[in-house]
Amino acid sequence: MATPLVLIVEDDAKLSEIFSLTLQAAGYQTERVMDGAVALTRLAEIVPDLVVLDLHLPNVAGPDILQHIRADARLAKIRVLLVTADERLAETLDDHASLTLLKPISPEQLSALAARLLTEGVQR
Amino acid sequence: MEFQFSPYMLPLIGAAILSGWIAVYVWARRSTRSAPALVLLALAIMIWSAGYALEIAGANLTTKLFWGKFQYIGIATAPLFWFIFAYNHTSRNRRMSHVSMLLAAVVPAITLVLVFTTEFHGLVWQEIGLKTTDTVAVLHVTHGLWFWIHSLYSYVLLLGGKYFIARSIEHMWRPYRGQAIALLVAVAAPWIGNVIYLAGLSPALDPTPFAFTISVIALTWGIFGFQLIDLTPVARGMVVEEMKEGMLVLDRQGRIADMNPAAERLLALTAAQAIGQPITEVLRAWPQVLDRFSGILETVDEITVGSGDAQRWYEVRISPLKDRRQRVAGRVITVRNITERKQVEERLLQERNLLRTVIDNVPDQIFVRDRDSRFILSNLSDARAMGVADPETLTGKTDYDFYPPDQAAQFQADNLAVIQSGQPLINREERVGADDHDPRWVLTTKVPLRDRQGDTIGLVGIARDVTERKQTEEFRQSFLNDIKALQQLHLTLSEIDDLETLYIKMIDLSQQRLGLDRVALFLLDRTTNELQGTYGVAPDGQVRDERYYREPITPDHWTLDILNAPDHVLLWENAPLYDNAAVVGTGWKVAATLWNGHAAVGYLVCDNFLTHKPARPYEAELISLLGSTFGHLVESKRADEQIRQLSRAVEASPTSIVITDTRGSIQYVNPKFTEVTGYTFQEALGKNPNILKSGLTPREIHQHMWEMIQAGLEWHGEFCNRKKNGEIYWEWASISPITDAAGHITHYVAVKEDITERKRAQEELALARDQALAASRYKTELMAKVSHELRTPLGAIMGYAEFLHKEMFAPLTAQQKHFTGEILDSTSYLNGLVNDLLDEAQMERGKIQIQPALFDLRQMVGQLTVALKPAAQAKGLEFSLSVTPELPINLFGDQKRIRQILTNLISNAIKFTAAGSVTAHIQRPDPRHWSIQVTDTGPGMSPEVQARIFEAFWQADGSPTRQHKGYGLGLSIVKQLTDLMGGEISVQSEVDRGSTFRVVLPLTELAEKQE
Repeated sequence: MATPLVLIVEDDAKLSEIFSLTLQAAGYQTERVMDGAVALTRLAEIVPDLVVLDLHLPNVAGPDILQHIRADARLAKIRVLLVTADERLAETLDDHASLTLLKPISPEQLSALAARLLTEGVQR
Repeated sequence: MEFQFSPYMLPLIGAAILSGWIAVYVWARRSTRSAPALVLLALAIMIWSAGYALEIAGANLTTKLFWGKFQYIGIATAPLFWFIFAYNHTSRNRRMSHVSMLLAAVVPAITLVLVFTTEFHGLVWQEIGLKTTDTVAVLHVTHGLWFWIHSLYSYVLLLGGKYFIARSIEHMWRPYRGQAIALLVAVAAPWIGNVIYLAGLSPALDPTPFAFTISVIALTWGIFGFQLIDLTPVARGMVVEEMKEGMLVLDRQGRIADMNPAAERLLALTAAQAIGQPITEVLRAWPQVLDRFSGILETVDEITVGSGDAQRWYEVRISPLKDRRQRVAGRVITVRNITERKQVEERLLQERNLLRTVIDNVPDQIFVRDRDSRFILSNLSDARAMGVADPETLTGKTDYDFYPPDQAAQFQADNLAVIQSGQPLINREERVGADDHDPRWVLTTKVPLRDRQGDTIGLVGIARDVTERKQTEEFRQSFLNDIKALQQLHLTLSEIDDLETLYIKMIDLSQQRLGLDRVALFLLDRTTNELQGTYGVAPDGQVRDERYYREPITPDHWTLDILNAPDHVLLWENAPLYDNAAVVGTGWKVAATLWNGHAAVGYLVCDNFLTHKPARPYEAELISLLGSTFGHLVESKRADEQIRQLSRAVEASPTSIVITDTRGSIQYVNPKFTEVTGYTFQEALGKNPNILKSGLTPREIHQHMWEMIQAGLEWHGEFCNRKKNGEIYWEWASISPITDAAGHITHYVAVKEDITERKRAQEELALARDQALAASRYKTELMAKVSHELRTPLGAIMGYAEFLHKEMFAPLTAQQKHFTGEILDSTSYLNGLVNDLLDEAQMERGKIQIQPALFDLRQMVGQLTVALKPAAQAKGLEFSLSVTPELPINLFGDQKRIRQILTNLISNAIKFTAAGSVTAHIQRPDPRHWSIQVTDTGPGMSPEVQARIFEAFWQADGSPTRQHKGYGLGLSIVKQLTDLMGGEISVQSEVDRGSTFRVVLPLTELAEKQE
């Protein structure tokens, strides 16, 4: 099995770097996108194994991206890990996300859960 | 006038004088019935004789003619008077009527007129001339027609007179026969004279006057000889003839010599048949008479003949008949029918018996006393009253023989007073007899008894036994008195308001006014169904307090007999009398319910223990009435008392109370009303409550209020009113209609509370609340914002620190490692604080909602173990989190909140435990619940602390310098979440012994959910 690709959609550069470093350390291939619109562009080109999705994004909001992923059969197998500080908004999307993590997220926690999502095949 | 002398005159003058004397004589004795006619007759003859004498004496024709006419005054009237005399003299009891006499006088009157006018018509005399005889010249006339009529009429009258006289002679008693002969002579004489005159045998003179003179002489002889005028000649004969007694005259030989018509009728024999017969023959039909009276010369006796209705009584009287020489010439027997008298006597006797029977059978005592008040006559009732059977034995006795001395003296005095004063004593009521228990009363009337002369000889008395009437009267009086007493008693008791006083007075007055003996009052306590004593009369006669007595009324309680008694009263005669359940005597006893008109409120019982008086005939009814009176009084006084209490409550009420009539006119306000509004009772009275209107209450509210209460409904609402001093205030009012028994609204009552202060406080509160809400909302939003904004940098800090700490990029010195550890620790704390603050903010806004769904408990437990274990391990604590196999895989619940509860409880335990272990168990204590139990070996808590640990922002040490990290929100949130899920949280802890938190939640299994 090839190294899984994780698309990190996070507008905060620091968090994006932390997520990326953590997941790379865990042995995953990562790609970072800081803008919602860019994320959609990238998702038209690639099919990542996991998307770490922030909800508050410039240009295209997180929920729209999630909806886009779930509406596209090509992207259906993608696991989506929501990372947000907005608990309420996260709750509304619970059904569509594979897993939701509430910020702040510890790197240890992130790597453990990403591992579970990708290996245990947690699927919606 | 010229006269001549003639010897013929002399006898005529003599006759005239004689006649005149007779007239005077008879006039002097004119009381006799026939006397006036005889006087007139004598006068007529005197005129006739005198006139005739003067005619003869007349010397010429004129003179002779005048006297010739004059004498006709006598001639024409003499026969008339004769006839009247004869009729009146002989007829019994009757005189000729005036009409008859006038009729009889018609012809003589015409005669007189014609005589004096005869020259003109010649009806009496036709030729008138002088005829000279040898010595004298006499008037010579030839007679006309009327003379003969006159003569005929005169003869008829003479004949009639003779007839009467002759007829009477037949009935004349022997001694009067001489008188009869004289009368006959007197009658006959005119006839003879007249016949001589008419026959022309007269020697020149008319003899008629002489003849009349003879008649008059004969009558005069009768007067002298036989008392013609003095004694009624026929009277004796008539008496004998007419008398009712039969009279028989017997001669010496016992033969019938004479008998009267009564005797004829008696013997049924005519005189003609009987006269000459021996008495023995005549009385053959009456043999007992013959036997009894034969040979008896003089006797008087009574005999009876026949029997039954035909029985007759006769009185027989025999008298000797003696001649002039006093020799017995015979016997006169008179027989009188005395049947009638006898019948009267018989009737009198019967009446006497009847009277006696009546008197004896009259229930009243009738008695007659003599002047000395001794008994003369008594009827049976009187005898019985004296105690004897035969009234006769009373005669001669006095009152002292029968009555006690004091009564007898009184009666004697009364009797003598009546006799002496002659005044009756009428209807005196007197008590008689010696028996005090059974007094007898009589009503006595005594009237004086007088003899014919009007002298009082005693008295007659009637005494009526009026005992019964008297008793009735006494009964009536006593009844009236009792009824009046009852009325007075009611009036007196009505004025007593205090119930205890009322009960005592009821007993007191029952004794005093109604003469009751022992009385006791018992009341019913309907709430406890108990009998409650009040007051009663003890056997010593004193009223005593019996309020201590209380007894439940069981269904078989004897009291129920009284309470359910018909007519609400029971009377026992000869019953045992009790005191405190002990028999103390025997007598009558009456129990009556205290009836209030609908039900018994108690009962009263009375008896005759003290006085032993007999029960009045109406005792039961009276006491029943008394019971009813008491019942109504007790009811009424209790109601009064209740009303007074209510009234006091209303007066003292901290709310305003206003009562108006249906037009809204104020009838009552309580003191609170005055206190609130400033209007006194007097000021408010009669006013409309709109005096309080401020104009600030919308009109619709008033309208609605009136609509509601007029419809009989209660209205609640607020008014903004104005006080007397102008101050505006708010009041909350409850206004309701008051209805009478028929359901008609009579008043409205308003209960009002001044809510001005409360309203102000409410307004302030509402403002504060609004401000607080706004603040809270702001705070929540702020929190959400802050927490959200904090999380992102927190995430960065945590991430970088962890990179360093995990030495992912470069190894650290021990000190660096320690520093990164501190950074992570603080970050973790800050993260928890942010989360909890956010939760708390949402809780306050009620934003947290439980959203149950199916979840995998064990999966969640796995994640939590991963998340929480590092913290425990970091402190060197043993940590375990286990789930019992009894629980199903999937639970129905709000996964997120359950996770929060577990996280908080376990984090807390780890945080406060320095060494030892933290053990969490998820169990199923019963099929309907599951539980989370977290036990630590921490410091434990005192009960005071336990009581407060679930409050927000509170920590066990409560000090500003916290020994333990924490933000005081964890347990508060757990508690609130548990409550939201319908579960319970509890804590078990002791200081230095660790703590155990236990959350029990309702279990909804998948299987059930799927159903």
